[in-house]
Amino acid sequence: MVRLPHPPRVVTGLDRRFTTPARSTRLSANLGLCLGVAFLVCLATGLLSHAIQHPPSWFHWPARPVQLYRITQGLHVAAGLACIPLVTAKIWSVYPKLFAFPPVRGLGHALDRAAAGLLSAAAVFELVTGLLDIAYWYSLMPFGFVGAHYWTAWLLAGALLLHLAAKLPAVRRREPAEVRLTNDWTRRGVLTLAATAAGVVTVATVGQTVRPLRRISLLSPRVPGVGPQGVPVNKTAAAARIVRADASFRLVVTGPAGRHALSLADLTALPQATADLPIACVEGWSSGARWHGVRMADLLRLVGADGRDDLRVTVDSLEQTGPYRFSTLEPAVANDPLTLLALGIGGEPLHLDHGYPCRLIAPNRPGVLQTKWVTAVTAAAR
Amino acid sequence: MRAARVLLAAAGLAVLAYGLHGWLTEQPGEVPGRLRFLAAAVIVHDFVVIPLILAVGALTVRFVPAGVRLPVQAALAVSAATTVVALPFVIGAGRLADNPSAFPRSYATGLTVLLAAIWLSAGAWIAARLIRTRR
Repeated sequence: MVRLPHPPRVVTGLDRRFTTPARSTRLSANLGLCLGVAFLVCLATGLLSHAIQHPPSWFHWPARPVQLYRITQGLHVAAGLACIPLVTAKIWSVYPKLFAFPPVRGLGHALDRAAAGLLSAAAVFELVTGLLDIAYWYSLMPFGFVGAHYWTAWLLAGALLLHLAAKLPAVRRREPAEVRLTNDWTRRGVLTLAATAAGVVTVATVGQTVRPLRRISLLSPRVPGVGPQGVPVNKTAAAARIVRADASFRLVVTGPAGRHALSLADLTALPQATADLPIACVEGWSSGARWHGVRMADLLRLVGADGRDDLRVTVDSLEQTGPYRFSTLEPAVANDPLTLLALGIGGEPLHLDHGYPCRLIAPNRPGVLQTKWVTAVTAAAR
Repeated sequence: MRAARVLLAAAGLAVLAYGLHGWLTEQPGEVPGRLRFLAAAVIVHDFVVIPLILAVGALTVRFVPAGVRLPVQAALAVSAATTVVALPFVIGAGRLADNPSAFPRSYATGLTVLLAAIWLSAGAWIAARLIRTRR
């Protein structure tokens, strides 16, 4: 066996050149606990949002509570943004270990380091792609955001569990009480600093969904109440290549008892209802509005499809392309009294960017599934 | 504890295998792009951002008097975190000409106001420390 020359002390002693007394297992463990909780919130709310948009056969998302999706998705984005300073603090706290010598002390240590490396890589990946997504900076990502963000979340979860398994003994070990220092960072000081940075980031952005904070959230990507008719827009009519529908517009409603082609005048002549519902975007912003229009259940009654829980309702848009040109409603949602084919907001006809002549608006539903520029409603067997 | 560790590791490996399978097979054409981004993210964070933090920390130790060092370092850290979150909106590469309701604010102004508030708070902290030491 060839014996390697012993490396110079500059290399072997590198990790001992970091001398901040605040760095400790306890600090790393506490930061890890905060991050673990935040990641759990992100994972749970993210998987939920994914399931609502791509429902497996066993998954049913109810129409109530009305505001639930607004809260879960607002939490997803807020928790992710708050993690940005926490992840950097966490990696800073263990940074000397990156230069530990020897780099590997056997199989267990190698696996421990591999899990930690994958965990930090996946965490940075998730936070950066999430931030770029809410800023629409897609040109920086050489891949589709949704698939990459979704699958890397699983890598992060797996690496986090492995990391926990590796670090459990160290976390449970008791450490001596801290010496109080006046002019240097203590463990508690670093934790307070990380929490402060996370707090500032949160307050600066969360007004995009927490309306009372909208004036002090100076960095919020959206402002509730700002947009045509007081509601922000995600995809404009121009971006969707929609031209304003004229008198020839007909909404085609199809069900077991037949088919109706309704003009805008026919729709206005049907019984009208109002609903106070939010547009709650997958990007974490939300904005409430008072919608008015025809209840979906009333439309379905015209074609003998109301109250039928064996029928799935599909809503089609005038949009020619894109993954959101249609959406499907479970029977319970289609028949909910708050589910409308909205014709207007706050007493005015819908702005073209909000889906003129008519759009879907249903409780507890991601914004991308609130189909705009609706041209057909079809109830058919599942 | 041993049982808990074995359980955690087994669950971790199972989740990791599932994630890796999806990561590599769902959109195989995108894997090189994802790998490049992952590598760039790690290199920039661990070998640019953290060394920068350490370097700025060392500079403050060298040039900022001990009595005011903590507030200055804290303000630098919070400013950095706020700037990172603000940057994509300040640059505004994702802004859409036909959709003024997306990114409706002046984010450069917002960031300036936030930085001013952070440094005012640091100033107040320094003042409080000086008053305490004078007594």
